[in-house]
Amino acid sequence: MITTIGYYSLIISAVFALYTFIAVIFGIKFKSYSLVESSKNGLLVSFIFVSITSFALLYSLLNRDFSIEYVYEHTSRTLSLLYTISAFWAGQKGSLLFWAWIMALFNAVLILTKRKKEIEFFPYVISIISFIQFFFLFVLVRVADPFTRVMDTTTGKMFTPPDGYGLNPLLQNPGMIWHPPTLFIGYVGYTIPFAFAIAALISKKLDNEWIKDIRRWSLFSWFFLSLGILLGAQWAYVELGWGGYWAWDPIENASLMPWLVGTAFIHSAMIQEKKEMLKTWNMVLIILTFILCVFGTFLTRSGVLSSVHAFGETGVGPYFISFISLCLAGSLLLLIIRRKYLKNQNEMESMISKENMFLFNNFILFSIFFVTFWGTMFPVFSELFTGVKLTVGQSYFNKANVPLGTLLLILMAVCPLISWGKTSPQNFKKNFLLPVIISGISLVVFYILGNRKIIALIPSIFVVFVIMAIIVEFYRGTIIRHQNTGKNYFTSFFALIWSNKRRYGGYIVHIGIVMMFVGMIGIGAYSIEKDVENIKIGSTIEIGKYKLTYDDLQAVEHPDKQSVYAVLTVYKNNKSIYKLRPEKGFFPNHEQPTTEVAIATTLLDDLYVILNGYNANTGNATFRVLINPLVVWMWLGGIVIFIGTTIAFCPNRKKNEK
Amino acid sequence: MRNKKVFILIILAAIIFSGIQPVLAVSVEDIRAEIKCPDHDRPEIVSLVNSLIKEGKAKDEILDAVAEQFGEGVLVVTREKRMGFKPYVIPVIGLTIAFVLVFVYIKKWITKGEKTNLRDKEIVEASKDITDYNKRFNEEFEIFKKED
Repeated sequence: MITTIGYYSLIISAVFALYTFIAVIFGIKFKSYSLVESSKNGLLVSFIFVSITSFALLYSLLNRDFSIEYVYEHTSRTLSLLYTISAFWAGQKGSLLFWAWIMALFNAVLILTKRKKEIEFFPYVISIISFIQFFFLFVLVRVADPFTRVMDTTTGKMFTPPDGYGLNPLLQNPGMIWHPPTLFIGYVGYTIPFAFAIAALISKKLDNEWIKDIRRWSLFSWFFLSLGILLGAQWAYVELGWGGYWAWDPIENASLMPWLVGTAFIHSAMIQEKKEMLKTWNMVLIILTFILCVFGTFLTRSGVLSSVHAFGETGVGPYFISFISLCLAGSLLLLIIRRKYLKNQNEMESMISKENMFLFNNFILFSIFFVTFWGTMFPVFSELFTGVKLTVGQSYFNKANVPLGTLLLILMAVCPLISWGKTSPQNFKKNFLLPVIISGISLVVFYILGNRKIIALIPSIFVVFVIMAIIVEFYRGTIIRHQNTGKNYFTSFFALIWSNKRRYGGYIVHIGIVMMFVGMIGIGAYSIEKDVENIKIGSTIEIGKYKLTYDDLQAVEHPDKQSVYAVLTVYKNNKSIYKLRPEKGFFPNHEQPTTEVAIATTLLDDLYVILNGYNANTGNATFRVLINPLVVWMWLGGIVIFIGTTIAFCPNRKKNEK
Repeated sequence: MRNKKVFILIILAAIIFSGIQPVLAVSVEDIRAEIKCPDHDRPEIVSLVNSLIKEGKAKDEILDAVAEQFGEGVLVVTREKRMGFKPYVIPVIGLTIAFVLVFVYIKKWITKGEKTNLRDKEIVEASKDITDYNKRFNEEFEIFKKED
């Protein structure tokens, strides 16, 4: 019954999305206000029905209705409640439904919030969002019905298995609860800015209004995309046993690419708002960001590239490639037709100006995107040109992106110190003097402390430079505010942030990014690892400043799995400081055991231990032990980014007063 | 016109550096020679290699798959060395051209801005002259009327 309700609600939802698209087109054509209003209601009804479908799937998952193929493949009777809920987005069909539901929710929120504040081109926005919503619902109905029943292959009849296959053990991690939803919110969120951009192009309303309207949506999407990527990195770090957080896997790259282009957009949109420049470029960026979001889901679902994250080859690939082609061709055509409306209203005044630095920042971000895109798609290109499918490996991405990342860091340092329009030599000297001196001193300090690898030393200096540049900005603002208002420094500091949330929130985000750079430098340049094979209980492993003794090997039965873990005591300066328990998990129905690494974290480094193998009879075990310096700063950087984005997201006081 | 030339140049470079070549049939021994001893006798590697040969994969593809699954360390020559500079060609050429184009564009933009500023300045000064002239003319006209 519930499956029937779910399936038919999905069809009705798709029908209403299609109705919205047609109604709004006719509404615009015949200037019918009632049709446009009706189309808005259509999209709200579509949301209600896709919510019923989502509820039906969730209900089936929680009730372990194994007659449904999706429930059978992704849950089992022993699966915990949280992982059963997360099974909703663990598979191809469920994740597509989840995507469609988030999209319908965002579209409904947009319609409800913009109902009073009517925008001239809003009907065009509705036409775009309803079309995209219809596409996803159509794909679900056509090739990814999550309510397909389990069939007995011999008799061809439907049946209900007694238990499910269970969730992939690699997905049984807290990361599964947070990472996919946050990433999906980020991906889907970019639909709204894209729709506004295309609507502005169609309606020729190409002043700065559309950029202002989507500022919060793009910031919101960017934040969730950043959070999703970071949570994914943290998950890979603790679960997959790679010893690192990022492996330049095609699907990881698929999430990084829209983030890079979306970041470029956030910066260049400011130039358009302030100087009415880069109108075409902003259009290109936001269109590309959306297309890359869809491209990411295409890569995950098409089987074009192999990855631990991919769902494998499915039938949705051709639909997605057609949709991407349509969006790309349509957007390009509109850009060409409307090019005369996208001319710059102002001229660039100087090479050393904030707007020019933003432009170079865009160039670097776009270069990192291009390098990553080329490396990710290299197997496809190489097959196209040579007939042989080759992958480039991690070294390509590191070699190409580390210098570009350092350049980005330099621009991040320089940008806050340069004025809009033109920077006079006196100002230049005044702003740069202190950060340059402190960075110079830091170079000596780092060298003395042992940070002597060029690949780490150069970015480290620029990390200091960025921090100093931001401190100088905060310091000057606070002093001026203190002098003007007479309030104490503490109050002046927070009042300063509150007075221009966007600017100072942005600086706080930059501090978060720099903290992440610190983590990347640490693990990238100074990580050490040691493989110890087949060691006996009681043996000792020495790595860096740590000494580990292998104390015991134990097996534990859980309701859903069997675990074998090693017990190691960690000593530092002959003092016992931790007990670590790296583990192997064995799940029924799954051949490959999972690896649960054991990590001891401090602000300076992570001691990371992987149990690679063991002999149950002798107790001998094989370990990989790593010291990953400064990794925790990456996760702390994520928290700072969250704080900064939240501040930048808050409305300005002036608006409230109005 | 110049854009067309750049485009043709990129396409030509892509073709030249892509190294189009026929894919040759591969034997177990060919692959074995490329995998370090004793890894080339590991049953899981042998099994993977055999299945890929049966699928008709090329030598590079098989070595690629082995490296993906068992790590770069099992190969005699790492993928990076085998491929050399090939993956970097398009990004390096592409980004260099893009940088030059962006730089030239900004330079032109700034020059245009300077010209516009200069023109605006001239207009302001000219209008100031006209205002001064009109003022003087009116003053003299008033004096003339009084005298008359």
